[in-house]
Amino acid sequence: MFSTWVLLSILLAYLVLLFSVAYFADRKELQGRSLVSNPYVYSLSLAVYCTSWTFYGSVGKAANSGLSFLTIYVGPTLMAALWWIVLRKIVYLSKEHRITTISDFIGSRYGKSLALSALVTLVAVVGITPYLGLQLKAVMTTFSLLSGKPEGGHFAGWFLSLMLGVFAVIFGARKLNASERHSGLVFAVAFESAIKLAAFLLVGCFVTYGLFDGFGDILSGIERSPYAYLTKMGPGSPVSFLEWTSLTFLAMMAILFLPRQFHVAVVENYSPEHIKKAMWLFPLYLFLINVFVLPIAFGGLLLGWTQQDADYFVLSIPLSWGHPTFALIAFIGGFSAATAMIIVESIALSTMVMNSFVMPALWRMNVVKGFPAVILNIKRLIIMGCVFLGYFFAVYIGEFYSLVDMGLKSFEAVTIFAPALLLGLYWKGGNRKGAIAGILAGFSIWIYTLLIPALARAGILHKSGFLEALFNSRFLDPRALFGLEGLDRWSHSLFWGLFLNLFFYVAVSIFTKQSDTEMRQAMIFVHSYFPEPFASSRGPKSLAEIEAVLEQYIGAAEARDAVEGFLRQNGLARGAVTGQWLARLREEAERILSGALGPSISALIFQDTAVLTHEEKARLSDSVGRISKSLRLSRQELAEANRQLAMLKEFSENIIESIPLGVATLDESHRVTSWNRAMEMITGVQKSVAMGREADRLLTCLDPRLFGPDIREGEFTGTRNFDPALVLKGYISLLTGARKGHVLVFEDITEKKKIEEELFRATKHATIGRLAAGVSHEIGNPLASISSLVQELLAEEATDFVKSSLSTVNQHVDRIARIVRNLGDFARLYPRQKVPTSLNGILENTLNLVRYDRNFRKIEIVTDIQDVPPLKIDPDQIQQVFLNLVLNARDAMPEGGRLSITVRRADGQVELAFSDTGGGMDAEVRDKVFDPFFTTKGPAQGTGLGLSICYSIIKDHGGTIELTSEKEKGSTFLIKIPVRA
Amino acid sequence: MRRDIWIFLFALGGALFTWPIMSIFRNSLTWYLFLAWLGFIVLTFLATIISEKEEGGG
Repeated sequence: MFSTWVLLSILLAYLVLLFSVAYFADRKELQGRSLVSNPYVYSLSLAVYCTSWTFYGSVGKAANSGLSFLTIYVGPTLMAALWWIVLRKIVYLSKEHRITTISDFIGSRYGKSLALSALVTLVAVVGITPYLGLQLKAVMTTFSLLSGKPEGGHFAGWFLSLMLGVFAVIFGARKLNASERHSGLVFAVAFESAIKLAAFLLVGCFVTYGLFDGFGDILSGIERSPYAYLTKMGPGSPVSFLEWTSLTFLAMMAILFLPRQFHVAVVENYSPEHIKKAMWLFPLYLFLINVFVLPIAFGGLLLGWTQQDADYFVLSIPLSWGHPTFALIAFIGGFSAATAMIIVESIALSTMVMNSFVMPALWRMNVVKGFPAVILNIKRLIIMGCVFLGYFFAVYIGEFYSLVDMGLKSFEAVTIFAPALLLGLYWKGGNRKGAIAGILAGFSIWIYTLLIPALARAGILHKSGFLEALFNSRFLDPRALFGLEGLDRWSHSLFWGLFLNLFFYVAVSIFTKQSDTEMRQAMIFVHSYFPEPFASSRGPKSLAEIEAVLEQYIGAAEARDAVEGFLRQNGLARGAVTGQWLARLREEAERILSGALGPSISALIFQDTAVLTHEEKARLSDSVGRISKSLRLSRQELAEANRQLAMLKEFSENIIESIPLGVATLDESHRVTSWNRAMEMITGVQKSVAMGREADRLLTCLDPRLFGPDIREGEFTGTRNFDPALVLKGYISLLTGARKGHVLVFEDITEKKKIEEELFRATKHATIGRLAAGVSHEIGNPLASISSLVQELLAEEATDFVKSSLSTVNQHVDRIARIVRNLGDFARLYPRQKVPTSLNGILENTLNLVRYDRNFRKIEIVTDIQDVPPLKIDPDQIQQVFLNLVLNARDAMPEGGRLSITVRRADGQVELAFSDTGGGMDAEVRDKVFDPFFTTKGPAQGTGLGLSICYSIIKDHGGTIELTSEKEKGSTFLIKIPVRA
Repeated sequence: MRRDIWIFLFALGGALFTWPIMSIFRNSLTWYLFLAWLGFIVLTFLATIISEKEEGGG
């Protein structure tokens, strides 16, 4: 145990440290080196969400209801995922309009309604006061626990309330302008978040690893204990799935709508970019601070404490195990959690009360003008009032409720704002009357289903007379309203509250009209649209008048600074501000006053300065009416044009998608912005892969230099992403108009190119064939005579020289005869008969012819021959083809190698492949290899007709012969003969 | 950055932390809840990284 004075001294020392931290941050801000303008401090300041409820109440809740305590932290984690959409918009609108509280935000959305703003403030004050009390109750109780003197708690509570009020006044109400950021305050809150996290982790480690053997030990221990049900959910456990879902939803709303969360997340936000980092940093903080909740809660139960004591296990466990230091650390952690909440919440609530109640009252009494210092002091008093309201609640009512109970009631209270605020951000139709009706309905349900039963349970309200009748009524029982039974109290209240709130909000909004101001504000909040301020024919009288209005409310120096700032920002000279600029200055002045006095009062002040006459107002009203009518018509025309445009877009997209040409568009940096289906087929690159990538990486055939200002047309072959043999014809042109870039149109001309080559080759063969036929005929006959004569002369007696010469002549004649015969074969002078013949038999005969040839000794012949049906072919000609190919392969492999021959049937054809491992051919040779008289051998070794003859024979059989070859990689001749040939 | 990813993330979280998925893990609910929670935070972190990259790259 610690003595009261020791504890008070420690708390005082902590508060001095907190003052120093806040003062230091304020000084840095003044020096232009902000400590708070970063996402880490922003995320830590959001952790003001974790109050003494987190520190003590979560452990209590876990020990009594098991896992349901997690809902309070899982809810904000889920909501954080939407912050970039929702919170960013709220921040943007609030900054733009200098909105400083959630009540002003809602009031401003619905036509700067003071009544609505006041209603929201009322709900917040009634709903949040118990929450403030909860913090002080926790501090007082823990103080008593540590000091061992129950009476000491009240004194400590009073003393701390005073100190925290002073802190909030110093760092939160130094100036009247509430839209000004409070660096010191925010840094102190972030500092406290770090302290409470460190404290909780330390105590958690002590319990988990000092008293037990880690998480597994505690969880397995609880599973074996009578408290095993605490790790379950649903039937047989203290928490139903419905209650889990309801609590998660409440927490989701609380993180947005609790006044202190609105203050740190929106008002104190330096940059919307900070939100993005906070979206995961803040949930991570919540995760870390909850990691040890279950070990402490279950550990306490396993160590023999009862569930009723669980709220303060964090303190009592270290104390009873003789570790007062850990208990003191826990106390400081809990204290820091409570103080951060009290300070920020009291500032937020006081601003709401000021803007919604005090300022309108002072304004109506006409005492606002000229007394900014008085207004500021009133605000300071209200801050102290909020803190002490919490203190009195904690002292006189708080004892009847648990920490969680009070916290959840506040969550339910702020959830009442959800329909008006969230729907108001996205639905223009919601109006002021609907919002008021919805909030009133929700608040009534909250009072009836949560507050009254709670007061009755605590004995503050006695269940007798009318109240007893209510509780006994079948339809009006606050615990089972309209006979709805079977729900836990949170789900029950949430269901009826939200249902009636939504119903009234939507129904009343639909059946009542919006005022012009409401319509304008709805446009601004839903579409983030800021219309130009109206410039009346007379307009604001002068810049001096606007400055004078400002001066009355915020002081002379501030007013001058504000006006000078506006002039500087817009590059205007003081004497040259007229017309539209005056209207804008007036709007800026209204925004400035909005930060100080609230948007409703600020709007009233500028209405009061009446810059429009009655006549002008009438003209304005008439003008607005005509504009509205014209807008309605324009909207219809726009809708029709939009529909036509959508149809046209769909039509052109369908055409582009269905044409057989590949079409793609590129932006200025050559990244793909569209890619049609044909493009996918032609290039083999899927649209999903292509989009956003640079074209030259996808289509390596494209030279970046092609993308010049001139239209270029050309043929490209791809080498990387698709078949290298694919031949594309591409057209590249420059996109003109708003979207700069290029449009590519590709055509796959591979087949066309093949056909052209075939035609060219066939024509060439036919021409040469005719020539060969003539030559063969004209030379063949005289040659036969010469050959006969030479034979006869050889048989005659002659000298050796003559015989030798005749023999030489005979050899040359034979050679000429062979060439002539080949020419005849090429020209197919002699029609051959095609008979059904086994192709494999011909191949076997051919191989037998060469197998024992000495030139084939170094060549390994490998065959893979499938059974194929007999083909109607000329066996001699086909054998000639095979022989030619085999001999060619031999010539290609003078140093030996492997000749692979495969025969198989595929797609109604017989395919024969002759592959050698010889030197291969380059592209030039490959292209000419079937040309007559083309040979790579010497003149004595070949006529250059062999492959031409093969080509002619196979063509004559209705088949094809193709060559694939690469230098140093061998060659393959692929013959395809149709089975029905 | 498209809003879709945040809405998807929110919907995924909603599914992970409600019945019936939670009832699948009824025998090890404590571990499930903490691991799913941490996993969700990691996903949010990754989504913000992707979002920042997309916005940075225009």
